[in-house]
Amino acid sequence: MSDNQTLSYIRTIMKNLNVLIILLISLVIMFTTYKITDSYVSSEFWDKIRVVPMEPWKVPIISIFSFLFLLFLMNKKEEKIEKDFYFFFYGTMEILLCLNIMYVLNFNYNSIILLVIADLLVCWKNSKLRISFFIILFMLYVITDFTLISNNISVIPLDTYLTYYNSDVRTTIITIKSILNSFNNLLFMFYMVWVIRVQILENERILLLNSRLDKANEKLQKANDQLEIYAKITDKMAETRERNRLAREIHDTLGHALTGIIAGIDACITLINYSPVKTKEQLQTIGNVARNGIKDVRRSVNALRPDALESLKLEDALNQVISEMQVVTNAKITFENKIGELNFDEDEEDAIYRIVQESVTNSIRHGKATEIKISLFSDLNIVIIKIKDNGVGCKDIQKGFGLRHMAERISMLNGKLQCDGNNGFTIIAKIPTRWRKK
Amino acid sequence: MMARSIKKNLVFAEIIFIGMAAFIFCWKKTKQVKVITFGMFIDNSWDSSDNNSTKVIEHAIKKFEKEHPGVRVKYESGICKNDYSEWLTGCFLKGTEPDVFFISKDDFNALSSKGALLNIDKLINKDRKFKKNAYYNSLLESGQYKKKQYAIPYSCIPLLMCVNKTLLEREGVEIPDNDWTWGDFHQICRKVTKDKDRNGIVDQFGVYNYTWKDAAYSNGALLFNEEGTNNYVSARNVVNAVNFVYKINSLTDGYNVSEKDFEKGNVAFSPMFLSDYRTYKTYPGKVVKYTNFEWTCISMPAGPEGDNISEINTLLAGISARTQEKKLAWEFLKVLIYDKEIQTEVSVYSKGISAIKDIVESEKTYRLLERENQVHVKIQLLTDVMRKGVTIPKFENYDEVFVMMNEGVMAAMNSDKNINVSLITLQAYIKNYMKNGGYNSVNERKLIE
Repeated sequence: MSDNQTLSYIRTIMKNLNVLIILLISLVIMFTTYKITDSYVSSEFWDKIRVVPMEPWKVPIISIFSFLFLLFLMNKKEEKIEKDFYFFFYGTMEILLCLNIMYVLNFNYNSIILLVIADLLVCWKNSKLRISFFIILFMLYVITDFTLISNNISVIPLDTYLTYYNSDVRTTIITIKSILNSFNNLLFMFYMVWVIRVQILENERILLLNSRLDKANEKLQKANDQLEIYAKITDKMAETRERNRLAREIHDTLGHALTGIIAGIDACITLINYSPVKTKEQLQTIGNVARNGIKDVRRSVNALRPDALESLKLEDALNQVISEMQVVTNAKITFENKIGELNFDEDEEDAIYRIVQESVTNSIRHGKATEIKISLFSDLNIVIIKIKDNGVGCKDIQKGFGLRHMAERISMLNGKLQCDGNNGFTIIAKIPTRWRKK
Repeated sequence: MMARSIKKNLVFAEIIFIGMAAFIFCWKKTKQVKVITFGMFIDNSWDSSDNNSTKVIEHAIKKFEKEHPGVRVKYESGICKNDYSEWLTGCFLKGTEPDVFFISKDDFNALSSKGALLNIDKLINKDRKFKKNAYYNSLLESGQYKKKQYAIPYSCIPLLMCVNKTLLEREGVEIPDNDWTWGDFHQICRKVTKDKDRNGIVDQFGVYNYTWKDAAYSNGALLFNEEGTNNYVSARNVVNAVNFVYKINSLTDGYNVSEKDFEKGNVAFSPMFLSDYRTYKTYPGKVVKYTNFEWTCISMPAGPEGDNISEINTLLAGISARTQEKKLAWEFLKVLIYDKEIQTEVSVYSKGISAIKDIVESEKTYRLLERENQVHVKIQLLTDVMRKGVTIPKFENYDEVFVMMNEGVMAAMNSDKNINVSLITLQAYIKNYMKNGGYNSVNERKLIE
């Protein structure tokens, strides 16, 4: 049995109990009044009361009818009322019916408010209106207490009706009424305890879910950290691999050639005294070895060149890298070439290509730029590359690997690199070229 | 499953109830003839004058039904005066009370304080034909509770002083005028109190049944405040009245004058209600009493601080607070208590007299009275008495409190203690009782005793 079902069962029992109590009180009031008038003791009873009672036949009819209407409202109401207005409407109607029943029963019974509280509690929501509604209900319960009411409003206590009977009947009726009443109150308490229990269980479940979420988050964080470490390691490994490749390349090509040349020259030194002709031949061979070595070195360096420059001209390669970056990052990159046809040596092309590539990468990665302007122009035989972005810039420039690498490349070509971190980031590279026009 | 069947039953019950309500509503609507119910009693004393009072009511009903075609007035006949209170309260408990009904003076307090009566101030103010000042003000006030009008006097019964003419003539005393005083009263009483047959026992007396209350009213005293929260039993005029009654009573040397003495014609004065006077005067043949002497009525003697004031009992008529036909009920009530013809008949045929000035003070009323009943009442006497008269206050437990006060005053008169001091203690005690709504501690009770 689910918790909500339990609560609804308790409410049903409470409703039935209330029917019984209301029937009991109203019938006692009605029959006693008729008995009093039939046995000619009206004057005696009249002196004991402070207000004219309602027509006796109306008492059970009005009270039961009002109660049935109350039950009708309770059943008709949706399980959870979302709109405050509907809650207010149903709540007010139920309170009014409640007051009507209590009035008809001369305020001899007020625990019916507990039933209304139990019923409205289903629609509990943390809104000001609803909270104040419940406060009013509890206050009503206190105010409508018979002893409190009878001091301020003239009502006829049930005891006055019961004085008609002998003590046995009186005690029986009072006992039945108080047992039913206590049972009703007890049920209400049990109901409230159950509601609280449901709430506590709910809270516990939420807490459990929360802690699970926390744990999952922690794991995720750890995985993330590990991933970063892996990335660094991978970077390092790539670097090492590249260095090893370079070393192998140098060893295989230059080392091989130089070893051959050294060995050849050593042979020449011993041979020159005996046979200059043979030495000459030998030197010829050494020359060939050296030339082959150079060829190998060239091939190696070529292998290290960017792919784009391997197959394309500089301008096309630049355009390609720019359009690729635009597609990947959505940044607007413009390229302006004021020099015209570009005709540089390979190492110069490499340098220009790398500077542009690195700068654009930096602008996007560190500067979060959305607009990057690249311009290429010349002053006499000096090529100037200017890359300006609208990113966050950098007040205190600390040269990282990328910048230092760029600076090194340019200084190898006897050029200069300038950086400015205000108003976005600007890089200006000046390279003296072995300029030649075709 | 269970819940569903309960729900079905509920819907079923609802349909039945709505159907019943609709049926009752329609049934009430279809009843064409409107019915006003009227509650009245007949006097259960042996004389037949009550037939006359029923005649007046029947005439009033006929008149009303003629003015309002389609309306019928029903009344339950044969309820005796003694059973009326029980019958009326029973009706209120059952919810079957009449729309318009008589209210005896004992019931008015309880009825109005419990909200059983309709406040007719609005109806009075709306009705241009109805003039409040047609009534003696003090009598109209007898139908008020907390300054609101709940009922209007149908007939009044003032207290008069009955005079034994034969005795006074024998003693050579002139019948006092209507403006006589305590001094005259005491003087005559002293003069007539004597031992006629000279056997050593006084056998001719001044007055029978003259109470301290009668004296207090004629001395301008007010015994209670209107709210019923205080009393003035130790006020100077009350103390003087009690002392005066003590003085009058002490003339008889401690002999308690009885009704027999009066009937024998040995007492000069006795207070008597107008109803009794008329009963005895109207049918002298049937009355064994008072045949051996001539008698008449005058006003009560005036105290030094008051006037010739006497108590007036009123029979009120009011409307139920739960009546369905407020307007018709008011119209019928008006026929009963305001219609000149009916009220003249009340004055002529019933034992009381109308509370309307014009009728009390019109010669025609007395002419009719004399012609129909051979009752001779001086117009000046009733006019004076009605103008000056007082009605009893009206708070909820008046009867209870008055019994207590009466016992206290009687005890004070009979004890050797100073009356003034006793009355001050009594006032405090009763005030406390009234404030506590009827509860005094045992200790205080002992203190009084």
